[in-house]
Parts: sequence; structure tokens; C-alpha cells
Amino acid sequence: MDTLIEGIDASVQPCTLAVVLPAVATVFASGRRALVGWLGFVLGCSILFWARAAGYWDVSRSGVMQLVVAALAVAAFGAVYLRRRGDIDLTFGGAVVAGGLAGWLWRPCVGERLGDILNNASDEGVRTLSLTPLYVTGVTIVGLGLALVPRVWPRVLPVVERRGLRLVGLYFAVAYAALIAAGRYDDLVAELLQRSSA
Amino acid sequence: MNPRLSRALAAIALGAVVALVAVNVLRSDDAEPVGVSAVAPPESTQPTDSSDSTERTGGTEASPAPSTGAEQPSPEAPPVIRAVPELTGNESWFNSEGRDPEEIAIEEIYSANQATIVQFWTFGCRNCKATLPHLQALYDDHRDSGLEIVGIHAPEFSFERDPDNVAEAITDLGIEWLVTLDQDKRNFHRWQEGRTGYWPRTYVIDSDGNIRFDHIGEGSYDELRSVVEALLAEPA
Repeated sequence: MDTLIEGIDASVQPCTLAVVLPAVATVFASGRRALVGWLGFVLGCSILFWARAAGYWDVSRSGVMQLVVAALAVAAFGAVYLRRRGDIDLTFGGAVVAGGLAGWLWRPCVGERLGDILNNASDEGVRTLSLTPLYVTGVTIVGLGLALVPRVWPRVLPVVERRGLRLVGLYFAVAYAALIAAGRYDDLVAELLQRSSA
Repeated sequence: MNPRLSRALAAIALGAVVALVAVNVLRSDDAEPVGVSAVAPPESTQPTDSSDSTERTGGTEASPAPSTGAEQPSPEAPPVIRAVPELTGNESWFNSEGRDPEEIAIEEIYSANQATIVQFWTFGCRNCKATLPHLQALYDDHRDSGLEIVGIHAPEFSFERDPDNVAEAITDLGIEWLVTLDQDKRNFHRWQEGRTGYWPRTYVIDSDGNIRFDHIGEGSYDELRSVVEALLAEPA
């Protein structure tokens, strides 16, 4: 529970905007499948963030990888937006990829519970891997709340299904991808940090 | 699932989400650390932090034995993790107290002190600032008996790269120990194995230039103190 609480505490801090915003964009892009989208995002983000901490994912984000990441971001959010290709449900898979990218790019400021995960990820894999989704759930709790709203008030469903609202997620993905490709991702986060701290 | 039940469960979940967020927003407004001098230093007590027991650090648990009136045994020396990496390309030194910044060499700081705490931090990092009262408490207790602290400021964002902003932050936060700038984060990445670096990252270095404690993030302050005091207890 402490891990979840620390994640929620971190969600209102500027350091986690780089995860919170993609999570909310995923929820918007998912429309009526927002809960599935949010779950996929949390899963992807948790796995890749933990893998980085445990030393299993040590891929550079510079150079050509910037373009790869940007392309993946557009593809992931596009899949979430399209939702279905023939019989294949793309929402969950697209959200997992989007979450994974966020987990890869995320550079957190580390509190006590997250520090426990990061310090022990390579030695206590099962325990820390099970705690990471709790922390990420806390960080993305605003996205969870937004995803639950149509479930509680079915009248909201036509609103979240509106193309304009769902495209918010896609627009975000394109802007996000462009910044990453141009190597300006850090500047985006810095700008968000300064604006939210002002 | 019954639609009404599903809706009820979703409503409960949404209510819990709203409550948790509201509580934490209110808590974070009250709990924001404002600086070293404004926050009471923590008591030096037995380790109570549950994360201590699972911490991967350079230290074995160095809890003192219960007092029986006899002299307490020296704390167990923490094992060596690895040799400390070089510190190169760093710029400027703050709080150098009359020393020529050009002539400050961190290797001399290690050898001149039995324990040197080195922390990678940045002033925009809330969690980094939260560690400062604990470091200050240690510094107050042991600065005259072989402890030195060196802060290596590794900026995360562009506004943290401005030396004037760093100087202002050092003053506002009441930091008394040496601070140097790692503007391109070369040291930040060299010291932290792999491509991922975290803020804050705290190391304890012995006089031979070996890392004896390595911790990511906040917490484990009791263990940090134990490691420092164990090193200070070793023969010079």
C-alpha cells in the first residue's frame, strides 16, 4: 500500500508528467475501451521500467533510436485509436507499447518506495516486479479515474467515443513523437516542470 | 457481469481514486521540504525503516548491540562494493571556503577523510531535497571527526544547468558542504552502471577510494549513518 501511496504522491509532482501525460492520452485515444487501454499502459510501463532497473534493458535512446522510438509512439497510439484491425483487438497491445515507451523514457525522482524497487530489482526480481505496477498505478491514477468515468456514468460513453476527443490522444502521440525524433523530449519535460512549478 | 454490479464496482473504484488523489494533493502541499535549515534533523535512532532490511547496499547491518553497561563493540565494517570511479570534467566548486577551486581534487578529499558521502543530485528534484536534512544531521554530528560530504549537481533540465541558479539553490537550501557541477552528466552516467541514472544517488567512499555504500533515492538513512559511523570507527 505504501508503494501505491508513494506513486499517487509522485503523480502530482512534475517528475512524473512524462508518464502521466501519455497515460491520459492513451485513455482518451481508447474511447470506450479506456480501462483496457489504461491497464495495457500500466503493464507496459511497469515491465520496461523494471527491466531497466534490473539491468535487462540497457538500450541507448540517442541517435537512430530516437527515430525508432518516435515511430513506435505513433504506431502505438494509432493502434489504440484504431482499436480493431479485422478480428484483432489492437487497444491492449498498442497501450502496452505506449506504456513501454513511457517506462523507457521516464527519469523519475526517486522516493523511498521507488528506491526500494530500484535498489533491489536485480537481486529480488519477483518482489520488485510485483511492486512496480503498484507504483505505476499510483502515478497514473488520474488516467484510471478518467477510464472509470464512463463505467460509472454510461451517459458519458457517447462523449468519450467522439472522434475529436479520441483524436486528442493521437495528436499528443504525433507531437510526442516529433519531439523525441528531434531530440527535444528533455526540453518538453523541462518546460512542463517549470510551468508546473511556477 | 451484471451491469448494475459492474457500475457499482466502478463507482467504488472511482471514489477511491478521487479520495486518494485528494488526500495526497493536500498532503503534498503540507509536506514540501523547504530546505535544510527549516526542517528539524531526524533523531539518530535504531533503524526502523522497513526498507533497510531489503536494501542492497555496501553495508551489512551495523546495529549496535543492546547496552549492558560494558563498552559497545565497534560496528562491523561495511564491505567494499567497488573502487570509486573518477570525477572528471566537473566545473566550479561551491562552498570551497577560501580554497582555490582549481586546486580541489576529489581524491585528496577521500584520502583526507575517513568517510566521504558523495551524492548526485539536482536542485529541481524534490526527493533530492528531502535527503538534505538527513545529510545535514550527519554532517553536524561528524564533520569534525573525519566525515566530508560532496554534492555533485547533475542537471536534469536546462534551467538546472545555469550555475547562477545552482548557486542560488545552494544558498536557499542551506547546503554547507562542497558542491561541484557535472553539467554534461558525464560523471552521473559513469558512476551509475548501465545507461540509466537516478536522482538522488548516494555513495559513501572510504579513505582508500572504495565505495562502501550505494543507494538510489530517499530512505535508508539509518543504514547510511551506520556505514559512516563504522568507517569513522576504523583506525585512521
